[in-house]
This record gives sequence, C-alpha cells and structure tokens, in this order.
Amino acid sequence: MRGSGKVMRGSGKGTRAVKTRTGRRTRKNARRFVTGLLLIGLLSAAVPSGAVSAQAAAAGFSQTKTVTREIMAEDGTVTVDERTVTVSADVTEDLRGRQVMTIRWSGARPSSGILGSITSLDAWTATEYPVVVLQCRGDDSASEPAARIRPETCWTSYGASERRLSGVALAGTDFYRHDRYATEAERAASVPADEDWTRLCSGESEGSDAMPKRIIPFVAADGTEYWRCGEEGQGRAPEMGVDTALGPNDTVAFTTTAGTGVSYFEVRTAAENASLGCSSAVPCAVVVVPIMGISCDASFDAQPLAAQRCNQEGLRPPGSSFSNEPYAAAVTAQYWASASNWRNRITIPVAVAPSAAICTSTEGRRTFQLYGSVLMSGAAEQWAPAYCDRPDRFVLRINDQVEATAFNSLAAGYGNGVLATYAGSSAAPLGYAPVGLTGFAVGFVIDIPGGGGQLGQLNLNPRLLAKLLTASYRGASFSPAAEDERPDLAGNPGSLQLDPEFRALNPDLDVSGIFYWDSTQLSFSQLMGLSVPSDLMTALTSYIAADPEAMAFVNGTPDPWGMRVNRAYEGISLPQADWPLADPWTQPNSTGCAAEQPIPWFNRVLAPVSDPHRLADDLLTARPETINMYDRIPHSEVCRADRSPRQNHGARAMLALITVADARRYALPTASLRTTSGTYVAPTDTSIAAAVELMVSGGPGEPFVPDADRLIASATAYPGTMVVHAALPLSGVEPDQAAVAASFVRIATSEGQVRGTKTGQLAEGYVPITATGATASLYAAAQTVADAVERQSGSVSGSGAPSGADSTTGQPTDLVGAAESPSVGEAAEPEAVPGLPAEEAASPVAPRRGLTPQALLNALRAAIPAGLAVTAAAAVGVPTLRRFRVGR
Amino acid sequence: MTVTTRPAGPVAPRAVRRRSPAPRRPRPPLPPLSDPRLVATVAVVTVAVLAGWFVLQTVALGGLTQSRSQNVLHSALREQLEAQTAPTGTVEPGDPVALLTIPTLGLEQVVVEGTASSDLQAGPGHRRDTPLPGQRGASVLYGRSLTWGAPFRSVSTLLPGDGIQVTTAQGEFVYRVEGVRRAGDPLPGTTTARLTLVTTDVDRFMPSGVVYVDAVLLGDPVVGTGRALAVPESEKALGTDPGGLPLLAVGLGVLLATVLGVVRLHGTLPARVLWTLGLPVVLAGLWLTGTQAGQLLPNLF
Repeated sequence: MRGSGKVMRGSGKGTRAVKTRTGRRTRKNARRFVTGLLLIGLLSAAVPSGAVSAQAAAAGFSQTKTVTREIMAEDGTVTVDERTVTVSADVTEDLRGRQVMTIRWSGARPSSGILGSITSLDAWTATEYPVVVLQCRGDDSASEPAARIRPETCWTSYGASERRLSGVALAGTDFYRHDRYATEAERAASVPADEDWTRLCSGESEGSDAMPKRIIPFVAADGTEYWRCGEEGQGRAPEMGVDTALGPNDTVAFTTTAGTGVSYFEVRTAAENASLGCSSAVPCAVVVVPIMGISCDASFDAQPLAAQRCNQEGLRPPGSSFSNEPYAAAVTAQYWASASNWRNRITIPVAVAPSAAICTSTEGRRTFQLYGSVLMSGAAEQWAPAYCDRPDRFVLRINDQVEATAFNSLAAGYGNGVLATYAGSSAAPLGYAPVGLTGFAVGFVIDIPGGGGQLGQLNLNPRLLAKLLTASYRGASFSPAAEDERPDLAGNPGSLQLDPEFRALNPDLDVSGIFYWDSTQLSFSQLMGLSVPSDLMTALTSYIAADPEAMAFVNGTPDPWGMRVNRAYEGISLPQADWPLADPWTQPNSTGCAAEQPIPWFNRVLAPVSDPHRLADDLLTARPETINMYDRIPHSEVCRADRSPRQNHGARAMLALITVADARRYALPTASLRTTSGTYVAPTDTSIAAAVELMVSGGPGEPFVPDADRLIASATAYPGTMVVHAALPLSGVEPDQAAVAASFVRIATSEGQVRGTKTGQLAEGYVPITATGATASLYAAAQTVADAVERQSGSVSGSGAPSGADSTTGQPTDLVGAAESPSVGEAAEPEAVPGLPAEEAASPVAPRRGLTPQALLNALRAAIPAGLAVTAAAAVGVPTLRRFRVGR
Repeated sequence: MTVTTRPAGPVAPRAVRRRSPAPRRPRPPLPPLSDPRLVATVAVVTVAVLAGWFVLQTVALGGLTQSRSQNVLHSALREQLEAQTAPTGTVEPGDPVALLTIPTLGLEQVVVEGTASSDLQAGPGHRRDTPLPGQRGASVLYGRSLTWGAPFRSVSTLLPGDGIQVTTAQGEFVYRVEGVRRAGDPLPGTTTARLTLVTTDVDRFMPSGVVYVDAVLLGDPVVGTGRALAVPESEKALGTDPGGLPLLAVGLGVLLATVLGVVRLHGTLPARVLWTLGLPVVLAGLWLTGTQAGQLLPNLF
C-alpha cells in the first residue's frame, strides 16, 4: 500500500517535475546570464580599446583571386587547372563573440563526394574539391613574416588528422613532399625534427623517409605550441576536442555544381577561444582555402603510379554525395596546409569589437536598472558602455526578466522601470516610451536532403504553428497500444516534414525516404519554445488567434488532410502568455527507465526552456531541446532523461521561437509567416516598418500594442512585429532619478537608434525609431513620455514644459544627479565635470528639498567631535554652575 | 545640594546616603523642579553623559566589542575554512567571508559580508554587489577609520607595492597595492581582478573624505558563484543604517526607566543596594544605546 502510494506520488509529480525544473533553470539562467554579462564586460574591459573601432563603419568584404593547380601528365607536359574565385563576406568589423559571418563564393571548382556533416573530422578526407574555412590569427598584410598568417596559427577543433600530413613513400602517398611549392623545411621527413621528437611526441614513432610525418602544431596566442602527437595525443590546446562546449567552427564546406557556395562561419573571440586569442588588439582573419589539389613536381623517380596519383583529378561526379567509390586524395582537404593549397587562400581580415562593456568603475555612480523583455538584451549589450563610459551619464543595466515579474518587482521597489510590449499592472501610473522596434521570429536550421545545403527560406502559416504548439504531431512512431490510447492522433503525421501541408508550402523539402527524416522526427515535431510567461508567446499566439483557419484547427476541425488537434489542447483559448504543458499522457507498455520515471510524452516533445537566447544558441549548435532518451547514471540505479544529441550538419531539422535580434546576430534564417492576404512575410526593416504603421497606442503614454488582426490582414507587414517600451513610473520618483529615466529615453531614442556596430549604436535586428518616417509616432510618444517622467506629475497628458532638457538634441542638461549620486563616495568632493552647469557642479550637495542624505551626512560628520565638545563643556560648565549657585 | 555634579542616577543615591540614618522615613521631597538652574543642570548633565558615553563607546569601548566580534568571527571562519564550508558566493550579511591580512600594517581582520553600518561594527565588510576577493572582477571592502576598533585607520598610508593577503574558501590571494586614491583622482586602469579598500580620511576626529586603496591580484582569479545585484543605500559608501532606531529608542527607554525606578526606590533601599542594582542596568542601557546610535554614523567612520 505504501509502495503504491509512493509510485502514485512519483508519477503525479511527473508533469510538475518538468515545470519545476525549468523554473529553477530560469533563475539559474538569469543569474548565469547576468554573471556572464559581467564576465564578458570585465574580460573585454581588460582589452585596450579604440585602435580598431576608429576605422570606418563595417563594410562587406569581396576579393577575387585566380587559384591554380599544375597537373603534370605522364609525358611531363604541364596543364594548369585555373579558376577565378570571388569570395565575399557580409560583416568583417566590430565582430562580437560567436557572431556569424556569411561567406559566399563563386567560381570555385564544384565539389564531389559531399559529406553532409561539414564540421566532422571525416569531411577533411571525404570530399573532393571542398572549400576549407578557418579562423586564423595574424595579419597577411604585415611586413614582418612572423606576424602573417601561417597554418600553425589557424584553428582547427580536433587537432587530429587534419593537422598532420603523412604518407608512405613506397606507395607514393606522401604527396606533400612532392609539392612543387613546398619549401625544403616543409618537405622534411619528420616534423618535429628528430631531436625534438622524443620530447614532444613520446610514444609515437618519428617520421622517416619511408613513412614521413609532418605535424602542424597549433601556436596559441601566448606562444605555446600544441603538437598533439605521441602516445596519448599529448599537447592539445584546451579548447580542442571532439565534444567541446561550443562545437567546431572550422568547416569543410562544399561548392555546388554552379561553382558557388556559402558558409555561415561563427567567429570566436578570445573570450570563447583564448588559445586562438582574437581580440581588438590581436588581428585575426577568416581564411578561405578553395582546395584545388596538390601541384606535384617531377620528383617521383620511376614511380609512375605514384606520379599519376599525385596528379589525379577528382574521381567522383561533381555534386555527388559521399559514397564508398574511390576518390582522389590529392584534391581533398587533408592537404589544406600543403603549400599548393595554402597559396590559393583568400584572407578575410576580421576586426573584433573592442568591447561589450568598457566601464571601468561603476562604484558610486547612479544606476538605471530596467528589467523585462528578452527582446532588448541585444541592443542593451551595445548600449550600456555608451552610458557608463561618460562621466556625465549613469550606469545603464538591462536584464532579462519575465515581463509580469518585472512589473511586480517594480511595484516592490526593484529596478527603475520595465521593458515590455504589452501593458502590465502597477501601483504607480506608468508611461510607456517606445525604445525598441523588433519582433519575434521563428528561426530554423534545416538542411535540404541530399546535400542540398542549408535551407534559406521557409514558409509557415498560423495553422502549422498551431499544430506544433498544440503537440499535434506524434513525434515518433506509435506502438499499437499507443495508437489505441490516442485515437485523436491516429491520422496525424509523425512530424512537420511528413505533413503534406508543410511540404506544399516548402517544395524544397518535399522529399521522401530520406534516411535521416526518422532521426529528426522528434525534434521536428517541436517549435522550441518558452516555459515561462513571455510577451513573445503572447505575440506568437495572438498571430495564431487572428487566423480563422488556425483557430478552426485548434477548436477541433480537422485540416484538409485529416490532421486533428491533440485532444488536450482542443479549444484552448488564445492568446496565451504562458503556454501550458497540457497533455499528461505517457507512452504505454514502456520498460526500464521510461517506466520507472515516466515523463509525459508530449512534455518530451515540447520540452520548453526559459530563455530564448538559449534557443538561438541551440539552433547555432544544432542541439534540439527535445528529451530523447533515458539513461541510467553510471554506477547507480538512478534514471535521467537526456536531451537529443547534436544534429549533424547536413541532417539538421529544428525550429525555435527566437528574437529577430538573435537571428541577425547569429545569421539564423527566419521563417516567412503567412498573412491572410496570402503572402509570406519575413522580418525585414521594410516589413517591420509596414507593421508599425498599423499600430496605434491607446492614448498618450499608452503602449503600442501589436494588433494581430490588422497585422495579419496586411500583405506587407511582418506579423511578428513587436514594440518594446520602457514602462516608467510617472509619480513617486525622486527628481534626480526621474531625470535619469527621462534622459535614458531621450538617449535611447536618439543616438541609440543609429544603426551600427559601435557601442551606443543600434544592433542589427532592430528597426531605428526616428523622428520622421514610419516610426515617427513611436518617436513622438517616447519624447512625450520622457517629459512626463521628468515632470513626475502622475500623468502624461499634464501640461508644462520639460524641465532642463534640450529636446532638440535629446541630450539632457540637467544631469547632476545622473552623473553621481550625491550621497556616495566620489561625489563628496565636488569637481568640475565637463558639460555640467557650473554652479550645479560646484555644489552637488545643495539640497533640493527637505533633509537630503548629504545634509544629514554633513551633520553626522561632526558627531564625534560634537559629542566630545558637549561632554567637555558640561565638565567645565556644571561645576561653574554649582559654584555660581553656592556663591549665591 | 552638591548632588548635581554626579552623572548617572545623580540625584537619588547621594540624597539617600545623606539621609541613610533614617531609612524608613517617608521619601523626602525632591528639590523643586521649578528651579530653572536645577533643570538646566540636570539636562546638561544628562546630555553630557549621553554624549560622553557615545564618544567613549564609539572611539574607545567599541574597540573591545569589535575585537570580541573578531575573535568569534575568526573561530567561525577557521571552522568553515577547515570544513570547506566557507562561502564562495552569496552569504547572509554579517557572516564571515574572508581573512584580510596586511603585513605592513600588522593588520589581521576577518571580513564580514555586507557593508551596512551594523555589519562594519564587527569588522571590515565586503560589499555585497561585488565579487568576493580572489574572484574575477572588482572586489570592494569597506572598513571603519575611527570608530569600533577602526580597522582601516591606517590603510591610507599603504604604499604602492605593499602586499595584501586575503584568505577565502577559494584559497589565499595576494594583492599588490597600486595606489591610494581620493575623490578627483583618476580611476585605476582595468585589470581582471582588483581589490579596493574603502574608508575615510580622519582629520581632527572628523572624517574628511572617502579614500580608496586599489590593489591588483597577483596570479589568476577564480570564479565565484554569484552575488547580490545591488545593495541598498545604507550599504554604500558613507551610508547610514536607520534600522537601529527602534532599538535605540528601547535603549533610551531602559535608561529612563532605570533612572525613574532608582528615584522611586531611593529612601526605601540603602544607597549601595541601589547602586548595585541600578548601575549594571544603566551600563547595559548605555551600551545598547551607544551601539545603536553608532549605527547612525556613516558606515566608513
């Protein structure tokens, strides 16, 4: 009895367990995020600033180069295989950690034997004529050869076979020693040489003329050489390895039969890869090596077979997928560092942004703290240094928080305002100043089956989103018992890619019988979403609610192909800020861990998380959130549920609810959403601006709430558009702090709306709010609210000129309180701060009204001398009094 | 009437002693309060006693309290360090977090968490929104320069190059002093881990300005497990802690009640009994009052 009671309790907790865990994760993530921001800030604070950022604004890169390979026929005649390759990249300056650069090329020799997983170790040897893309430290334009880029300063993730050249002399596979461009040193039989070999590579036999070896060490930023050789592969850079946290960023990309190709290359800064050490002080480059093959010399003495192999061209048909057919090793990526290939490289210099935050000291300065919308963190990262860097400004802190919680916190006295899209409840009247124009996005990472590359354009309609959210795809093949228990799902496809409606919208993916469709069925039944309430979910579900077809589906009408909604979600009311995990059903007849610790099946499918930035990260690293399998913790009987494993490049299929800003930063493609006019609209500046024109606020100081019905009806407006407002109290704030709040709004809507990559500017993914054009109404509303916040009269509509603010420049002049809190440290001794009114600067302690802390402090300062004085006076005075008395 | 020169419980005991031969007689009438000189004298004496006690306790006796707190904290920290339960992240204010040693000053102090005036009565305080010493980032310690043992009275005499050693749960960390900074001086350059000691300059028993001693960590910093996002005004530099006001009122109330009680009993009990009964209560009341009043002083004094 007791035993069964326990089981009951245990299984009853199943549904809640997921929620609780994510709840805890929320806080942990929030803390980790904040700590992370501070860490990044401090790390980059250590980096000298300025030098690189002074250059011109970010511009694309484009370079054309003729790449060649000399092929020698048996009779000794040499023909030249020549291609003119043009490489272009979209962003090369002010790059931030993990920012993704899109590199495109044309004119390269088409690849063959294409392996889907372009970052795996196999890709280095499998594909003929690939394009190797690496991040390297150095400056190819430097006059000093040591400062230039060498293969030794190029980062590869494994530090294994891709960093060593070898072969068997008798078989003639030591191609690199017959490279006509190789120097004598590069042709050495053994690198490292004999005398160093035992020290560096003990346990491994050294190279010889018969079996030569050349190991290409990785030279770290601090000069350490990592050879990665010997018995245990010793000498490995800390960031190297098979399963590192960030995954590989070196890629062996391929060229299509048209000669074009694309690589989404993730740039790593010293913060992510200290060994590589790219920073604003250490120049780096992304090196593109179109592999043409080794240009062999005539040194094959009496080895006609070897000479033929060395001069071989690709054996497989261009554009073919990987197969076990023979291939020409001389044209694969394993010889990327051999001189003939290396000289064909195209170098894209990259400049890492000087900092995320250069604030040297925030001690004793006034802080302006906003909590709320996850949409703003991208902008905030770039804004914050522009505030705390200037002595006449304040310290700006913006942290993600659930909007509803942020409103509660504000009411409880935490923070100075809330960032939100929708209105929230509050004790004090709030003014909503628009400070950001962006939106939610459905990000995706999907590979076109059959080596077709990454999908760039995806169409979705509200009904497909509703199907994903309501867990109406099965996510796996059901057993007969499960089929019996879930008649509502009987006719439903296993996942999105098996849904005829989805295939009709995306013909590129209308392929059957692909081997990996089954393995991605679980992850492609999920729109990776949020476990916490969020304005993002409200906006997404409002879009679904505005579509009659989608609502008919949710309310129980089957779609034209017979698919029905999951019974647990049937009739759910939309919109919802907090999407529930409504289906407690568990798979029947399960065994092992699945029976001991049953998690409801559709909780495993939906598996929401608390942080949309994490979802963007998941897309970037191709790690779905779905809970894939159970496992026993080694040496114990305890079961644990595991996330689905990382998906291979070439076989990825994931969708996630992310922010437009994250999509831009990580170059994640975003889905085009259908409007009721029948068009598919992607988030662009134009489509977001078009959406803003359809928004009106409820009155002065009220938020610009996206009206889903109007947005979805427009043929050109992006339905996911969201305005982020700074909701600021209109009464009860002390004047100094109110001036800070007002100046934040003015700065954020003036210099903070200049698109760019510099600190203080507006990141990609946000549409600038300007005084003219489509966003004029937002701008005007922000200025009105700023004035009202400064006035603190309790309402926006009240009259009265803005005090002390020059509204034409948006630069507040009354910032004494903003610059320094009068009650703290360094403000105690006044000093002239440039840009401040003289008398204000001279007397920052002047009380504004009543007893200010500073006045109190001045009084307390003399407390001890005063106490002494009183005692002394009494000691003298009382006997005097007595004597006076006695004398009478 | 020479009684008024006596400070505590001044009127009654002396009166009793003079009249002790006839203890059972009804209470003699108090001197008429209508005499303005007497009222003035009593008032002045009361204020003088309180003020004198305040100075005595903050500057002199506070050192005793503080050194006792240090002893208790020191053994608590030792125990935690040994058991490896000493904190690495957020801690309750008032708990010990680190041992601070400055060999050139002969200073050894246990650092407590929190920088409110009450926390700093026990020893130097770690500002809660900064990382712990040894961790990556700018760690800030506050200490008093004049009252309650004045642990930081001489830190402004530190010279560049002097060593500061801090022991926390994460190990021993050595900092090298970079310089002493006052308002208006340029802020220090950026480093990965810094320790700043904050106190005030003292000029004729008056604090004259905040002084910062910046030190840079030698070696590699460690990573902490989190900290408070912000601290209230009372924990910032020169913040005062009004949280002790209720207890201050209680202390003054105890004093008043004792004096009234003694006055009420005088004549019914012999003087030395009254002294024996009254004095400890008065001292306890004064002690409580002084401690709480001291919290109204800015935390760095």
